[in-house]
Amino acid sequence: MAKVVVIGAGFSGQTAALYLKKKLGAKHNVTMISPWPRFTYIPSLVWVGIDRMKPEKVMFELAPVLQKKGINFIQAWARSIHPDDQYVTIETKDGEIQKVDYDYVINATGPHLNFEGTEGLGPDEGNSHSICNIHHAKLARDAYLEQVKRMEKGEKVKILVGTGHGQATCQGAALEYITNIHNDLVKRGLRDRAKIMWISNEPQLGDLGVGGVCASKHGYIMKSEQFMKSLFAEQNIYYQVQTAVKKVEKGKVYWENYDGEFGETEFDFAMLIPQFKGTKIKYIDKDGQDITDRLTNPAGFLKVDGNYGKPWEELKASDWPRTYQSPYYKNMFAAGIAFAPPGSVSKPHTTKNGTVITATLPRTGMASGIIGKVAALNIVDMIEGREPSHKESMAEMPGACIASIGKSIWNGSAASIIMYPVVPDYERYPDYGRDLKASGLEIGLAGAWIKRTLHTMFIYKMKGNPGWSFIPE
Amino acid sequence: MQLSNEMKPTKKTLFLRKCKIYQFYRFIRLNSKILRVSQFPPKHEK
Ligand SMILES: Cc1cc2nc3c(=O)[nH]c(=O)nc-3n(C[C@H](O)[C@H](O)[C@H](O)COP(=O)(O)OP(=O)(O)OC[C@H]3O[C@@H](n4cnc5c(N)ncnc54)[C@H](O)[C@@H]3O)c2cc1C
Repeated sequence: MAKVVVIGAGFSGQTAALYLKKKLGAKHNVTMISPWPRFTYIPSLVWVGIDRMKPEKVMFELAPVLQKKGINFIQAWARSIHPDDQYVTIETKDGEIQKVDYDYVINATGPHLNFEGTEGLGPDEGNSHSICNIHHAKLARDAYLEQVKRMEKGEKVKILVGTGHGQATCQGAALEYITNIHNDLVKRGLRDRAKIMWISNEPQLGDLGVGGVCASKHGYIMKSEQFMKSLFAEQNIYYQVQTAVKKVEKGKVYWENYDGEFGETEFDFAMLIPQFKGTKIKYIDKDGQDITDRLTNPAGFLKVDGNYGKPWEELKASDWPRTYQSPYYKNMFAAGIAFAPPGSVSKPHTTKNGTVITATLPRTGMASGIIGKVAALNIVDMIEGREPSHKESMAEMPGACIASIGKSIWNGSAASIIMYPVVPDYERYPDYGRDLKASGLEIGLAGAWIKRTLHTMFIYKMKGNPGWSFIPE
Repeated sequence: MQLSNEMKPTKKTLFLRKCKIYQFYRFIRLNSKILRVSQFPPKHEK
């Protein structure tokens, strides 16, 4: 009987655990380690953050779902992985340290939200907000509603949304939040009382950490930069890109731009996405030596079968990982945000003062789900005596960013940004790096319906309800 | 901070974005595009 341990019950971990159990059945043991008792459907946190969705609608209890599927559930933090001795040390909520043995392990722990990377950033410091987890989204909601109250009294407020670090990612989530704030204030009849501003590390508006998207539209090739400028013009949103937020104080951000100039922007409410780093799990070898630096990249993400260390200009589609297997320990995989990308897709930039301003690649829910499945199926291959045969590179994967602009299925809307592949492949598509026929940029009610459909379908799938595996990642 | 004034949507575009019949058609088209690309990715073409 093989023991497979999945660490992290997010998109990728939950997908991996469900596939592992479906394929391995009762003959093998699948264990999920997660510090929280609930699964959170993160994409809908943008609606929680403006009080348009109740927190309980984006969560469900993990224990009954996993128990029904025959997956062991341990509610604990994974603290270290010991790949030579094949065990994970965990810390339970009572502070007890335990060992969990494995034959195969998947690190699916998502990001460490690196608020420490920017002085004063984040809800703990009390200066800015985040919507990256349910706790943060609730705090953001409360702070946003306070501003709404001020506007109701006739006051004017400044709202700042974007990235809070030169190397942050997840611009799509911030975009969705800003457009939802706009829509919410329009609905409340308060839009004229808010100055809404976008600040980001993108090289151009609409870059979204994927180097921008092109799509054919009305007989022209349209760039996501024009698309986003049009959206911001329509919604009266001010913007500043090519900017690294360096410090946040109460009501003020200090930033540096591409030209190395410093400046400040004042706000009453700010939601700024932090830099994402790898979670703080240590890798310890048989001699008790910390080998984390060897197994992970400098940001702490687990290295897998990608081609690391190349300069940005030389990176090719073929350098992107496909099996998500560690090159050092064949029974160790990383899935979702936890794997180390070989580089950024957006053009990197360093200012004359040495500040790196680079929009790093988002690993969306779709990609995370696909990678979770690939890692699981490769482990199944190995348990059954085969080499890992399942391969999905982000340079062969589609990406869809459906940025909602109001969730109503009657008069909501969304900006749908579809691309294939996520990582451009200039050998296959020399002009734009992507297949224009498979890419799309459009705004409309249809996007709101897609967003709602995804919310319902993915929660259904993550619960492992009948037919879950027929719902594509 | 800049404020763009480029490519504001016309009344026709705003109408189409809300028109339930047109948007139902777009819903089918967008979903089938996403599903087609994810299930049957484009073949390698040189
Ligand atoms: C606000 C927001 C909106 C988004 N909107 C979209 C969208 O519309 N569409 C889309 O495709 N993607 C969206 N994304 C991205 C999407 O949420 C991520 O791609 C996805 O959650 C990544 O999945 P994951 O499994 O890698 O990580 P996560 O979902 O972050 O899951 C990681 C899990 O690991 C657990 N964990 C962490 N440390 C440990 C530890 N030491 N031990 C055990 N467990 C641990 C965490 O608690 C968490 O449950 C959005 C992201 C954000 C923040």
